[in-house]
Amino acid sequence: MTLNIKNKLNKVVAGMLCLTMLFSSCTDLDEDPGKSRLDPSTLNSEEALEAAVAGSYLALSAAVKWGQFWLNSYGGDDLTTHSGKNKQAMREADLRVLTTTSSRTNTAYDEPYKIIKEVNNIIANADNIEGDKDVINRLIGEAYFLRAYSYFHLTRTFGKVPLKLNTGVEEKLPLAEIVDVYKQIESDLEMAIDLLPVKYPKIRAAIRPNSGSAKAILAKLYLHWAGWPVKDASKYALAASTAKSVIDNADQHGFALVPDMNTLWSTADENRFNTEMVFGVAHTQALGNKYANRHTGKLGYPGKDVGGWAEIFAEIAFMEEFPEGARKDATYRTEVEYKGKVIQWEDFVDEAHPMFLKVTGHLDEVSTKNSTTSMNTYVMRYADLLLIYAEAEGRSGGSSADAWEALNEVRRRAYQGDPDYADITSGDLAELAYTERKWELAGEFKRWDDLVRMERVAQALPNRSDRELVTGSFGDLSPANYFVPIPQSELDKAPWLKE
Amino acid sequence: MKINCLKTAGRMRMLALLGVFFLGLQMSFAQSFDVKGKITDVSGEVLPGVNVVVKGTTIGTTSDFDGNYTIKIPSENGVITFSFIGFVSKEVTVTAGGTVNVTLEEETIGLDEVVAVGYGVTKKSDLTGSVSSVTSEDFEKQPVFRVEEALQGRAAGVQILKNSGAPGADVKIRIRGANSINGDNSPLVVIDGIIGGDLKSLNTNDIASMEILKDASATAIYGSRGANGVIMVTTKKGSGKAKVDFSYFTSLSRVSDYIDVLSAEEVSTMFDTPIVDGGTHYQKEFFQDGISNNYQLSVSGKEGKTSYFISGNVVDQSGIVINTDYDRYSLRSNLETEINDRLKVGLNLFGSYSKSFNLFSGGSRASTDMRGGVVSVLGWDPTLPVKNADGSYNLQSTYGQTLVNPIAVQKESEYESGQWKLNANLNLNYKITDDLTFTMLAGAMNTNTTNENYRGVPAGTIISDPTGAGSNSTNTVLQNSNILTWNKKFNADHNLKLTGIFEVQKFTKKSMTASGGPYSIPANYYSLSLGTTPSVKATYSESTIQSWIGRGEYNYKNKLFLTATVRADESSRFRSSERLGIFPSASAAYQLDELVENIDFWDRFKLRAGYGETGNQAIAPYSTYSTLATGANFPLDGMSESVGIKLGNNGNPNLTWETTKQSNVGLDFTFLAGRISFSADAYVKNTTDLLLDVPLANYEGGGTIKKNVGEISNKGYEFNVSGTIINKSNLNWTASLNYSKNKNKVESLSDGQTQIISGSFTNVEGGGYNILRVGDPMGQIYGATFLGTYKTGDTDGTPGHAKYLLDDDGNVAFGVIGQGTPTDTWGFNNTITYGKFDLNFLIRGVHGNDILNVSRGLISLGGGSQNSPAYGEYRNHWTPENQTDIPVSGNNIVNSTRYVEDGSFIKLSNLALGYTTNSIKGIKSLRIYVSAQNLFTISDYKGFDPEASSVDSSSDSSASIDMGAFPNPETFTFGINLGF
Repeated sequence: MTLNIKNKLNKVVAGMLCLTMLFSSCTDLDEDPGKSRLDPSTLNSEEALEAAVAGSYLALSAAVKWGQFWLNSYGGDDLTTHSGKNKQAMREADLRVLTTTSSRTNTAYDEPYKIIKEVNNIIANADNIEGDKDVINRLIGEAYFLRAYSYFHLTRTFGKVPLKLNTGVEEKLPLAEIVDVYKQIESDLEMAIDLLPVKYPKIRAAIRPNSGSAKAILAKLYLHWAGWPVKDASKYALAASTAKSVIDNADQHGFALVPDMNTLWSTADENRFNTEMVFGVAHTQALGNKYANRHTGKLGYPGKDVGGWAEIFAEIAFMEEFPEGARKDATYRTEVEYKGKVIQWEDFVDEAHPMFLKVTGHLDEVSTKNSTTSMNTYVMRYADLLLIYAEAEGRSGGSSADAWEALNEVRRRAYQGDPDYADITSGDLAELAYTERKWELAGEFKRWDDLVRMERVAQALPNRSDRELVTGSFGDLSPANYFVPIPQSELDKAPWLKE
Repeated sequence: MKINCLKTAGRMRMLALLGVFFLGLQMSFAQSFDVKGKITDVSGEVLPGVNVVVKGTTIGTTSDFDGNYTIKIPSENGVITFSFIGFVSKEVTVTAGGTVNVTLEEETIGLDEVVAVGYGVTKKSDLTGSVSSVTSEDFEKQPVFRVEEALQGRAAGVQILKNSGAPGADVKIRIRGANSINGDNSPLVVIDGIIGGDLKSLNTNDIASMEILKDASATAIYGSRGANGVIMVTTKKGSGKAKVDFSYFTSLSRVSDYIDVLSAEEVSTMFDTPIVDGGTHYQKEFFQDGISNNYQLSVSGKEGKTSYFISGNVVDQSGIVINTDYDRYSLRSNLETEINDRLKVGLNLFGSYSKSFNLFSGGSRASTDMRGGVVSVLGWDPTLPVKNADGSYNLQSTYGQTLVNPIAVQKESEYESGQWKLNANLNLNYKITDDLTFTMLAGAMNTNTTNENYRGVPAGTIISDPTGAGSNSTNTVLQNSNILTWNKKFNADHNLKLTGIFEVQKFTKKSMTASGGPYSIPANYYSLSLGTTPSVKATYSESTIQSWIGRGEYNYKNKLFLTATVRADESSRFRSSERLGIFPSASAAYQLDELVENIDFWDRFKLRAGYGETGNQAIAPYSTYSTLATGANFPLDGMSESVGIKLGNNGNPNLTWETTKQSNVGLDFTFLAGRISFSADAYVKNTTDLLLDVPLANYEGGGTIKKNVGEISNKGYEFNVSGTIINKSNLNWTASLNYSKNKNKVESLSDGQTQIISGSFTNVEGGGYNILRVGDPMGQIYGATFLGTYKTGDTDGTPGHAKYLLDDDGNVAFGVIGQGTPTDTWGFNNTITYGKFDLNFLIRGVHGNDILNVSRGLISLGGGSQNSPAYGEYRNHWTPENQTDIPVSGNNIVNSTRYVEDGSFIKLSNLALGYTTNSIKGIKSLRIYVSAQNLFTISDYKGFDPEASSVDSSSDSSASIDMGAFPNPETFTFGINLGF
């Protein structure tokens, strides 16, 4: 090799060396997360706030779509479950033998806190948001409302729960006293009442709350506050007056009973969006199963007979005592037509129980094998509110004509077409309304709460038909066993919550 | 940051100037002269036929019959290399003409192999750290197309578990246990110097050798990425005359045994339901005989100064589950040329395309639905046919699983994942002076993955319309390494080698996902726009590591060896104040020849000791920042979707490196004239500042936050013995045994915390099943103690219901119920050659771990998605007349002692009989063989396969859970290797 070539080659190598230096020098090591993600500080506009509220509603829908969200309510004397299959947790609730390790209790616990996490973030950022003040107010109002509802559900299911109100993490919170949880719910609802409009714009029903929805929930909170476990009887009057203020403005809020109760369980749009909803979720299965209602349809049908999941059945004794009339027909189903044959509930092999129309829906809209439906989840119906008013008024010693009218309004629909029907205007208003609630709200996971606040579990539960199939001995029916133990999955992470 | 950057640039410029300076020195004039001499061995016998070459040139000759040679040296000084098979090569520097007589030493088997140690090579005999070496010869008798399988059972301290028998599934590799709870514990793979390679796509035939760097003194050179050990792969280079090799094998795989579940007749009797159309054996419907074909072809050689190795590989595998397969095509070209006696340039190109069909979650399960796949097959109602009389699928049953018929799901699933990998790396080696070498490595790796997914019958509990979705992702890694090596021998006794490296690696990941949702008109993936609820998603991330590395190696008289390294890594994943990690190491070895000189029994005896620190940046890019996440859309008006956002990652700006400190002592000796060699190591590893996903209480919305907390230790030892048991002219038996023991322990967790419980099953009793507890190993199983059933007359529970140990409050008592991570692993490899026949067998053992058999748990009683029991044992359930301990009802706590089983096993991994001949005209060599893999397994495990696991192959905090894991099949192979 001559010197010349070698020289040239060496120059090439020297050049490559320099190139290497260039290639590898000056590397920027600071990350730019904004290039691919959303910074939390972007929650500063009306649009971003609306999106965060949508995220919170997704969490709400993800919670209430499951039957186990109301696992405690399987303890009610109105409903029961299958004697076998994978319904162990529901059976345990039915028989009041839930433990920390019972399955499915975590849905009732975890899901409300997931809503709380999202709305805490909204509330923490409330002051950073720029835009139309009215729009911002109602969106922030919704955040307070959702937090109040979530804690109300938690404390009714678990009793004492940690009160998480900020966005920080690793905060070692104790179990808050129930009365303190109530006070927080009250304060959040008062904020919501201030911030929410009288009627939510551009919404066909109260699937987003208005100030009336917030007051209605507050009325129910007071009703519970007056009963077990806090038993502050002065709250009955507050419950009555709060409920009354909504009823007086029902028109503005857009609340009214629907004429035909059957339509409440229909999936047709004209029925989903109804005036009776004081607050609830209009599940939208058409947009995907993730938005669907998962505690209706198939779950209310027997197993082998029609291919149902046999998760929610009506209790026999309760149904037998249920006053006949239009309401009963709009509550139960006693037969099902399957493959051209009509089967009576007594003939079901898997298993012999009446069904709730409120759960199965209408067969022409929801098939026996459909476990994802667009049926509404009612957090509160207007009928519920009317009866809260009547009962609270009665319990606080009142007996106004308005209160009797509220009760009769519900009764009139219940017995429409009954020639013997007559309004009632005398008697024990509170107890009449309480019993009316029993029938009106049967199968809607509400009966248990009523039994609890009046400490009537031990009285109601043994009233059971001997044809009931969920057998085994009842657990402790005293108030000491009204609440669901905080799930093991939480105790694993937060062992200080063990009582 | 700016200051740092300027410094970097400045240093590099200096380095460049230095390079140019040395180049200048080389421009001198040439002068030639002759050298001659005689070559003998140690005993003085002459050696004919020795290769004598002027180093760096093609000038060469061989010694004549009397051992004499003459050679012309082209320049004023030169190096003559003397090499002869069976002898240690020798280099002699000559500066003037004359006589140079040379004595060559006989080679002791193995010890003078050159091994890769990261940014350089060293002689095996000079190693100070703990390094295992596996060469192609070690595994060529085993028909494998996966590199991981080639490593299995062959290196001490290296645990390789095939968690899944699914074709193309990920393989779990651990070197000396797991260090990290949160991070990936898989070792770093370095292929031809490029960091972060992928073993899965490699062609086994391309591999020349693999070195496994185990202790920190060896891995510290890889600093922040060396904590899990390093597997260095060196691909083949061409040499000698052109050679063509072809090999082919075909194999048949099948699941060894079916699980005992209730038969159609039993279900029919127990639950009073008719058998329709004879019922179905769902396992027989689900599993099939899998067929694999593997073709490998390579051409290699060296022409003049250019060597080449070109290869191709085709793998075509059908799985043991219906409607699954895996194909892989790969091509490689390794070229290297010596441009002049100082400059060498090489370019390695590798491209592969692999396609897996219906492989879910890296093979850790057999269905998109966590609850589906194997569990669903075992639990399904056997009284029903797969299809109705009208040809439609029988999708649901009220007995067994509530999930949609798994056979329908599997048959109608079209999930194709195609992956392109393109790797190119340029290797430039320049000898600036005889002592100073500059090497530059520039590499690019690109992985492009396209997933196309159409499900005719979607998995889950809901019968729904077909769905379609697809995604595309591109990962790019760019690397530049600049290595300056200075090697100098000071008189005969002192040898010093210094290496300085500057390296930058940049990673970019992009992805795009589109989902169509349910189709109202059944079609195919490509009609994605038929989907009625479309959604889209895109992601992007980038990260960079910049490193400075220094290494010094010194040896004194080839007796004392010292190595010290330091690596400084800066990662963009951490904030600037936490970014810099410095990882030092030092090690020494001493050759004890003197001590044992008078004893013939010992050939060599070497002691080694080392200490080093390595790191792990076990977090994803942007982990230090909190985010708002998309994907929370909701129909606010009940009619149409509105855009929704939710809280995302909880960022922690204070995150920094995990650091692993490791001490190692080892010894190597060979005796009986090299027939037996033994190597043993003991180590202690401590990993601190663990990057841990600390679970947040559910009242904070659940989820986790990453923190640097806690400490994990690993202590263990390992040894390897290999030897020639019989060495006769026509009978040869070599065997090697390796054994490793590792003890893992959680030393501490975050402040005041003594345990972290995690994991749970959907709608199944029991809470978390994993526990990390201070004082115990990682991956322990947490759960209840099963006490059988309540019996008639018991007052504390319903007779026939499951009974568990209760605590003082009457709640089920939870505690540690099993040890999830193996402690002992071993491999015993044998090759017996008799004339033209060879027999190879490899036996592997894994011991000390329990498995939570979730598959069995889920189907033993109703619960979760199981409506009625399906497991065979249930036929003997409790009745008032027959009060057994098999419950009829009650809580079925899956994480209970009822389902914890011993996970130890011994497997005959390979048994192969081959016949080799080279007496056929036109064919250089021919080998035909038959073999069997996993022919037998000794284990008490009741599931399909104790090695299979449902835990992601990168995780160790939850080990040994079998929730429908895809079993490893038994395989029978016929193959042929041809050389021309």
